[in-house]
Amino acid sequence: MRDTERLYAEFRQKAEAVSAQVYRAGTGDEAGILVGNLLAGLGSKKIVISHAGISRQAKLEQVLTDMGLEVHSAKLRLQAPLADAGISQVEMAVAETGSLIGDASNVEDRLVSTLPLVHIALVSTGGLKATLAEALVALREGGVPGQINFITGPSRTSDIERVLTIGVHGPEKLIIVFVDQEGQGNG
Amino acid sequence: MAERDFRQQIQHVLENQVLRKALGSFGESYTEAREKAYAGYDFEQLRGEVARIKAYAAEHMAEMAQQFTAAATARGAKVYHAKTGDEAKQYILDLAERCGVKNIVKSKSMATEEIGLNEALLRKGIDVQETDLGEWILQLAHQRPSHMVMPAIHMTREQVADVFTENLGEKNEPDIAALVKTARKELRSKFLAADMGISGANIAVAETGTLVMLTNEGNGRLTATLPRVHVFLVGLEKFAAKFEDILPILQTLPRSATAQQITSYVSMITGPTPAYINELETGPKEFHIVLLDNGRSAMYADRKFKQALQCIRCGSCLNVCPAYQLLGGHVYGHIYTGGIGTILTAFTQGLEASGEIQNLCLQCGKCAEVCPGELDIPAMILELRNRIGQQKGLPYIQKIALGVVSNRRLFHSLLKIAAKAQKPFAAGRMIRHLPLFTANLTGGMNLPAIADVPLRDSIAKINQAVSEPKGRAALFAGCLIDFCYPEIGESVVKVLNSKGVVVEFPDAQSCCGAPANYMGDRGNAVKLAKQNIEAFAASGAEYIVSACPTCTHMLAHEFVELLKDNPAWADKAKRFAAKVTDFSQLVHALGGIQAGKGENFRTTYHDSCHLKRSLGVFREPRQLLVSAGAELVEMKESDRCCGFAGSYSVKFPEISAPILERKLKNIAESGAENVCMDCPGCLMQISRGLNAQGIQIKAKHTAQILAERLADPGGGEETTQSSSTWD
Repeated sequence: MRDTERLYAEFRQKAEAVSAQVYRAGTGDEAGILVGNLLAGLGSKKIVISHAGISRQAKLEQVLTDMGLEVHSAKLRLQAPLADAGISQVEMAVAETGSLIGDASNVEDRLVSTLPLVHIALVSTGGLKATLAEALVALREGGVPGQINFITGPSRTSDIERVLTIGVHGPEKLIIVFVDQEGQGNG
Repeated sequence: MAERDFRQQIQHVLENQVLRKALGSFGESYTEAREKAYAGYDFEQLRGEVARIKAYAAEHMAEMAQQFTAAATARGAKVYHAKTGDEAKQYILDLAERCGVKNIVKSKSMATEEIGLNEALLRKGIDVQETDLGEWILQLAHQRPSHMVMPAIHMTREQVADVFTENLGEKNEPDIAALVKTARKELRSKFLAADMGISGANIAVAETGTLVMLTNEGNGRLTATLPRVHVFLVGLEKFAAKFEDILPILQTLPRSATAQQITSYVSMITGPTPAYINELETGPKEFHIVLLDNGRSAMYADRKFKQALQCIRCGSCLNVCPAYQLLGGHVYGHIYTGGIGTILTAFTQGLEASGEIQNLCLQCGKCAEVCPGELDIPAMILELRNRIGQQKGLPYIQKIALGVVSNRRLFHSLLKIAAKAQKPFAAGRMIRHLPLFTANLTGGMNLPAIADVPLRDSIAKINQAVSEPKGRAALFAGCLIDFCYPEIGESVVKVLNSKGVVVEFPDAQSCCGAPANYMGDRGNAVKLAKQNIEAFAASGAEYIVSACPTCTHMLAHEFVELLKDNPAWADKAKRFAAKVTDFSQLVHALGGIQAGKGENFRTTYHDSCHLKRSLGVFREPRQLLVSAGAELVEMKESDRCCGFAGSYSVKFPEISAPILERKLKNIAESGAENVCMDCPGCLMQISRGLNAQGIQIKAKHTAQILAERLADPGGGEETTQSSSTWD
């Protein structure tokens, strides 16, 4: 466990250094409330979710709907371009670089994580890896999926006068929520 | 391009203050940021791995292509092998037509620009949008990228705002955040409407058929997500054999390119994934990979250039290049810019296309030092220079001059006449023009006067009172020390004598051949290599020592290279080279010198390109200076070229001058009273600059400082050392 704490601290430091926001919740239910409050704070109204373990288990769609948000989780090609925020889950978080790694073979996953201005990524704390090397081994062992995405901070450019500007084609906010007890698949 | 147009273009960009400022500030901040990004990583080890991975893939290019094709095909991709740019274009055009494509979005791909894909698609009436912000700006402005990673680095926010205003029918203010928002809005509608995406890849993994793409803006991900047809154009140099080979490239590419630990996004794509074929239904994506040769396999077949395939296109060679930092990318004339661009242009556009631009390389070697693929870019450029020299012949004046230099007797007697004839033109230790044949080569700059008595004549008069000789060294003076700075040679003798080494001077020695070698005249370089090896053949000295690092580099490395295919000379060259050593390196190896007479003094040290990067000597002279009583204060960018670079300062005085200016600024800001160095060429350039700007800092060769500081001057020879600075 102490190892996890060390990795979490390192991840957080690296991710924050590239303008990501990092939160942590004990359970899926807590994560649901946390996400709801974050979205309310941002003034988001329309949300798209690509469901996976954590959001399903925490009944995230219901929680957010109950809070008065408009939530979509299917046929996202129509909804994602109009949404204020997208929620997806990733499999790994790499402490070395503050990167998230997810199997993004599912097109809905990619839509919610690229089109809206805010991307909330849920990840099991057990998915923390120390290094990119470890993460690549894990990816290879699982049989390389059709599309893997590494996400490190929000979308950025320095193409005009080399001035760093956040939020070009992808999200301008990346919010990462670690969940300690996912309930399943928590290796 | 005709030489005159080329010169005009250089003049034009040098006068562009916007570009100068943008490139200058980038060059300064990059070095530091890069170093920070690599903190905690062993760059040498990482680049060793990258070079090994890329060299293996290049060596097995056909096998890689076959494996990749099999693996990607098994995952549902359609793979096409294009020998030429035209084949690749035709394939993509046919595909677009077959799929009824009207609108294309592109994420960054140098290869598509290499083959002119956009133009071909536009001619067919298909709309093509670049989506990388920099590339999109250039597309709207009808300009070419000036940098591989930061394509629009030459433009200001005001210029970008004007381009947007003109093209988008709406007034845009020069506010970067607002301009980026505009781009997001405009391009978002293009992404949503696109029916085909075209991408480039950074890595193609042969064993899994995976394409790896590094981006920051998110355009790469959108291109891979929204359109129902997706095409990758991938150069054959992108292969890596194994999935785990991704790691070292992932660890070096972003750090070297933009000093990032990692880019915002890394996508690894293996075969097609589902896409929305309309707004409501998903289905399998039409997914194609075009593997592009277009000169790449010819590059591999050429043993002098195969290492160019180890390039991972990070652009760090541009970021540290003194010439690129002044000129930007447009003078390079084609899509690939800078040193590596010159090489790629020669192979993708033909040797002729690199004819002028290869001359822009100073041969300072800084790019090779930072290259994550371990490419020896300067050596490859030199090879291009030689081939062009052989094919086209050198300009008349250069040819005559090099012919004279490689005829020892003629050259030396002309120099002696020149020493007398220059008298009316000399002012102090500088003259305005060298008389006779060299006048045309000076470009109107001050050159050091030719000494009344060359070292070859004065050295015999030195009383080498070495009581217990411990060894013998044969001195290779080189033209500058022999004819312009004999006092440096005399200092070398004095210091070596103090270490118990007797110095001899083989009279038949001549020019080291560097001017011929660096101007692309291999014939004369070979001739001089043989002459000099012969000249030293009779000497039984343990060391062949030189106080000019360019000469030392020639003697120790290039002679072997020039003669390696000549059975009668190859071994001789190797035996000769094994004895060659740099002056500071030798004195250091012999135990250095003790602090002697005189006050301590503040000195800064300038690393000469060949000494540091070819000979690996940079600690030794510093330690010698400190033990001789110097308080060493490091200047900024101590190993940045001074702009002399042999004949470069004569060929391109307009580029050499601002490079020197930056060096002088760094020297002045160090607060030292001396600037010390080990190269007479640098000494000539830097003392000339200090002199012209009235900066009260003395430039000296390490040998001179050591000779001045020797505890025991040993006989009344001090007077020969006194005129050691030029003012």
